Amino acid sequence: MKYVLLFGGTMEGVDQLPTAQQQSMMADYEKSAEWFSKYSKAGKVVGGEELQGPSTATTISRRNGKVSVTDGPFIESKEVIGGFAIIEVADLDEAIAMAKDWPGTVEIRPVIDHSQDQRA
Amino acid sequence: MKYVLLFVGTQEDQDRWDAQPKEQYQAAMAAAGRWFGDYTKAGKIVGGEQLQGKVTTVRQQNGERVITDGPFIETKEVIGGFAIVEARDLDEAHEMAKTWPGGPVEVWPVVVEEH
Repeated sequence: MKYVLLFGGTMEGVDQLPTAQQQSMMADYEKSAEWFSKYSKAGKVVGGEELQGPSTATTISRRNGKVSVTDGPFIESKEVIGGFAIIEVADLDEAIAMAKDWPGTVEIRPVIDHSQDQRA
Repeated sequence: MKYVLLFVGTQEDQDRWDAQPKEQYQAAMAAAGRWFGDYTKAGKIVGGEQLQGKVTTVRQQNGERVITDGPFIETKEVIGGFAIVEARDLDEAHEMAKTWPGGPVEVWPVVVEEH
């Protein structure tokens, strides 16, 4: 089964935080790199990206047939997605076990299988 | 430059999408499939997934890992899927997003690892 793990949190603005908090975030950041490397080697992580901060995001939307481009994410929330991993695991339990290993908040989403689709 | 396009919308958009008559739903899915197919053939899309609505969240609370149903992002908007694109610049990523046949698209630049 394929799942996508969405990771909460961003490193944007980390240099504005108090030193202790910066150090703890940097430590978690290193742990997340180790997580990626460990599970990629095990063949469990098959893709993933780290997103730049929300200040770099833009949104394309359509209203009454008109396309507009605006700065910032569409999703209005104090939580942000910092990145994601595409994982190939036996079931949701294994996905949860991997997520527990991640040094932060993780949202787990099963994926819709389009591998048999005709996209000619 | 690599970008991630997040296909987003409100929960109402998602419900409306799911409740479409079968033929309309299939036509919309086919249009999205063509969008993916055309840009994949052009080498512009290097990855992507459509997400199911069932969400589980794992978060840390007082050093414990807590598992809950539902998203951690508390909002009325949802993410339906994403594409990883390889575009020349943000303008090209925007052009691609403008041709997406579905709802709003968030365009995020990706962090490039330096090895």
